[in-house]
Amino acid sequence: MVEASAAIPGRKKLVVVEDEPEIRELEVFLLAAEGYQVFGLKDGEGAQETTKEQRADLVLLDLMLPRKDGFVVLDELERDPATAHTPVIVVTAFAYTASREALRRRPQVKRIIEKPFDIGDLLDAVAAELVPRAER
Amino acid sequence: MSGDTPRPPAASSLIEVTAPPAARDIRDATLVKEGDVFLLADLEGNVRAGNPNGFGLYLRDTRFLSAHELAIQGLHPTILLSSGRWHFLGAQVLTNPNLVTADGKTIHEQTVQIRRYRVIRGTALSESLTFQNFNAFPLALDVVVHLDADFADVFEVRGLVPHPCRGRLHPPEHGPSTLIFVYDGCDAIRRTTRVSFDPPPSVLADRRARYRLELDARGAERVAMTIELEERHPVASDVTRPVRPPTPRATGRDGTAVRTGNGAFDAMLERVNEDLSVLAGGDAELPFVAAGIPWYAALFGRDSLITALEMLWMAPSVACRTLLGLARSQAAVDDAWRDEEPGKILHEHRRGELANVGAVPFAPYYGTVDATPLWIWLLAEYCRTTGDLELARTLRPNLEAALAWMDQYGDKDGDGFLEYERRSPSGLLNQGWKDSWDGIPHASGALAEPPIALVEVQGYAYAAKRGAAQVLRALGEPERARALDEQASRLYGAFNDAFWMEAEGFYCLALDGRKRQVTAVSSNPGHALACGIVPPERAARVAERFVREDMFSGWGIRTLSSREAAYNPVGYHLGTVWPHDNALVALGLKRCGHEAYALAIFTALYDAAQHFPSQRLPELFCGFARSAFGVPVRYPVACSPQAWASASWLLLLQAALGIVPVAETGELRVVRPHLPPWLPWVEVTRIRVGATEVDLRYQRIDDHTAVDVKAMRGGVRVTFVDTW
Repeated sequence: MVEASAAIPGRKKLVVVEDEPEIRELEVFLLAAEGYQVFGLKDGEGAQETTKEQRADLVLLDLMLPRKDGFVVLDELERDPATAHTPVIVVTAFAYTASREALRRRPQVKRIIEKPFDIGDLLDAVAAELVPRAER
Repeated sequence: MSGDTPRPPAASSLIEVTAPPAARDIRDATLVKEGDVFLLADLEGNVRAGNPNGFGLYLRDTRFLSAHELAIQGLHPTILLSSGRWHFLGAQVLTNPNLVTADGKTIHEQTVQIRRYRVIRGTALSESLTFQNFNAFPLALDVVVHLDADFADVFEVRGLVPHPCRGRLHPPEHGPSTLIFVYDGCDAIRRTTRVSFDPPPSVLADRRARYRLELDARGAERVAMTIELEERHPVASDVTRPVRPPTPRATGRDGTAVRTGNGAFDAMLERVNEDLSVLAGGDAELPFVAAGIPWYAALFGRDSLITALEMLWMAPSVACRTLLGLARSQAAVDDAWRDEEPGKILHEHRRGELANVGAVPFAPYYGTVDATPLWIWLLAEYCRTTGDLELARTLRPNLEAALAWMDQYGDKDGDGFLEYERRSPSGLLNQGWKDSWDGIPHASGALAEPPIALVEVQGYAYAAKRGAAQVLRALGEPERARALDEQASRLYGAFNDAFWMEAEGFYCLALDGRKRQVTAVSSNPGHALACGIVPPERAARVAERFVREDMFSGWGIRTLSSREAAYNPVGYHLGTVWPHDNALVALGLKRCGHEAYALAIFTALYDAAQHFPSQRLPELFCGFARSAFGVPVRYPVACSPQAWASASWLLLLQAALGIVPVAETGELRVVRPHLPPWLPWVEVTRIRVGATEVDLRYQRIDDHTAVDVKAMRGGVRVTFVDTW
């Protein structure tokens, strides 16, 4: 269920929720090479729990997921005080206008990256979210 | 840069390779690179042991992996996709051929997918292999990854230098999940390649990691590898680690942006930016743009200076870094072994074992006659564009030393021309940009004898003296400036007396050691056009000569006329087409008022680029006539990307747009703008003129080009003039 990269103390932790295996693999692999500890999930089941258990610093979330979609995951993250403030980057092709407006009303969603995305944009966005606010 | 000599294949391969040395070819190579580390592999992503093509994983002119092959059930997978969209990341999709498993089960082709990702960060290459079974039944796959490291120096790999001293290659160390290769070089540097596997292989022995992967029906398994490279100097703590660039996307522009009515061309301009990211190398103290991948992954004086000139109007910061970086290694002593003389700007700086032990004189090497005047010319053009006299003040001693080299060492016989003759027995015979051993032929085909005074180098010298005069005038040294202007005027006259061939209506390629004209018709005089040393009436004849069919192949200007005895469309400098050469010729034609011919070159290269992968112009391509084959013929071992080839688009565009920033007068000159037919409009924003900026929009209307000044920020004026 979870594809995790090596645990090294002090690394920032990311949860990647993505159902397309090629994209999930790429995200997990690249972000791990960037020095993050990454947990990859193929659907929304367990996403909130993993975020909580691992005290993740950031969630990359696809919206259109089997079984439990991204909006439900966002609701779950928001409901639990332990994950309510974990920043989320939505990575989706589903962000048409209505979704975009709905997402903008959720303070937890810091950015929306549309598929197909540029790898450089994704890495830049993750790095930017994980920089302490004082350093921005 | 010099051509190559094939070398024989070496050790055995996982799958037998029988290609003869003559098959050496990197046209379909895949490249992943960041900083000083790069992996050059074949189309399938493999580095086959003993390959004659120079494939491998490199750091600082050393091959840290010479084999990296994947096989399933003893066969290479079939490649479906190989993406090099991002330079630091390789993505491949492979699939199985028809297979028979150990238990006799037949696996039909294309029912197992293999996804391979590779990324380079710092001095490590990480690799992820996912094997996905699309069959409705489980299967067991035997997967083997074969790795080896020969730690060959790039000069040895290219067959240019046999390895005169060989250090100690230790037997590989096989652990449960690690494979370590260690080489103690003659230069006392220990080089290590450490491969870690996750999960551990079933067997790790004999340089092979063997896996027995049990794949569920429609299930997947993943294997990860990390390959870490290390150079450890004699002082144990001194471990060399290239500095990681701050982001995966460096920029080749200083805020200046171009948008056009041709999306394909926009993508090509974006590719320039990406290529410069690929070519970024060095460390925080001395970052540089490498000349080309794979053979010239090092700092080269001439290449970096011409690249910076090509980019100057859009990215003056590249020029600033180049000038400072090369000034740091400006020669201070006289050393014949390195063709080094005080004041000279370097040719090349290698960091491999052969250079470190002095088996080749390239750490650094100074055998270049043109880098020094090019450095001065770039400094002057940089000051003209930016008005940054602080840099000129900082580099004032370097400028003086460079000028002194031109007078004292560059012109040893005092005839007013810069000449070269190598002093180092291991140095380059030819020391202009056509530096292959046969690059400067007489009309008869015989090689010119040194000392050789090249036509384009006199142009650079003229531009250097005129430019230095302008800089020194701005720095408040009018007497010195006047003296340099007088020198330049004398050079102008002497050049036009000695190099002009009246019957041909063209300039000769060079003067040989007996001061005879080397009368071969070549592309070189085009550079002199760009330097302002050619009077208008002669420029018209030169321009007309360039576009005759013996020089203009249809894809660009050939390095040598097809009528010359030495002509060879596949010869490195003997008839091939080089994009940077063409860009400089186009600039020269534009400068002299022949923009129609300049546009013909721009268009020819644009058309040619459509036939290359990612529309990226390589270092060079063959000089066959366009009419003969309808496609440009690729040169088998051309570097790609090559810095000055990539940056050619910026100079070609500048010539078409006619953009000349003059910071001293706060003026942006627009000189006879003409867009080619395939560019209906161009918008350029934030063109820098000193501290001010201008936005322009060009619109092609029938055969004319209209220009609107969209915005001006700061006290700048835009003038429409005829003079460059």
